[in-house]
Amino acid sequence: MRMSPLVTGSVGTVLVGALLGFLISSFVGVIAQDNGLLGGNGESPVARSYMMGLLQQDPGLLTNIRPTRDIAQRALELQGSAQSRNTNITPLSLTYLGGGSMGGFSIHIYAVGLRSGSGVDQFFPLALTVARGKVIRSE
Amino acid sequence: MSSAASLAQRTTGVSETRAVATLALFGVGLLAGIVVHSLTDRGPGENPYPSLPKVEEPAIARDVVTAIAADDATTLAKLLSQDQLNDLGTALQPITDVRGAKFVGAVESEGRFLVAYTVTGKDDTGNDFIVGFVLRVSNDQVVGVN
Repeated sequence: MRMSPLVTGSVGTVLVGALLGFLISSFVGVIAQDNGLLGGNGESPVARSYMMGLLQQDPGLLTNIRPTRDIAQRALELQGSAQSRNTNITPLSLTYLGGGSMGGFSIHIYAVGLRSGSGVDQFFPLALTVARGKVIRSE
Repeated sequence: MSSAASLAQRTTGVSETRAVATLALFGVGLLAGIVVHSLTDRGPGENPYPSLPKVEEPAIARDVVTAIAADDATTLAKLLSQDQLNDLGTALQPITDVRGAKFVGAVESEGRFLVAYTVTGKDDTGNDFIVGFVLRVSNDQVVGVN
């Protein structure tokens, strides 16, 4: 069955508008998120996932949000996470301090409270650099 | 009115109607795209851990960052120890020419403050960069730089 040019043209117009609307709101959303507009605090979902992976000692959560690494680095990471699982840490708090962005890079800074297996409380910061949906630097 | 003039008038009317309809359909699509995005963009997940309340920027941290932003090495040398200056240098890499520093937030736990900043500037080759660093403050003294 052939659709009339009027119908195909109308559907095409709606689809082009929908695509443009989606892209515009994505772009505006990123800018709003980075600048803490519209009530947001600027926290990136990628940075939050990274922090969850770290605190829950789950390398699976981190794999997709880190730049591609060679097999030796990935094996080392798994060794490190197995060792840290044995140390039995308890997260006490996770606070997003804030961040900023420039070009394609954004910085997200957290304060982390932990209790080690020996009962010692630690309170330390972590600054993440996010680019193209990956955490490229953590310190 | 001649038949040619009547035809021209009708054609113009149809074109206008068609243009308005096309714009309206485009607007409907645009709105649908925005709605779909707002439904699919979930933002950061829920934080399962407690968050500490934000506090004011400690004065000593403000002094340090003012010196950094003003490129005032003399004042900075008086405010930070040698180890802290080394740590600051590492935290600022690759920026060698600081253009601005911004306080983004601070929290306190048992008298220990973590005070976060972002710094913008240029590296050796003139490329723009942004980095983040944190001053640890305790008893009105900077006790560490991360």
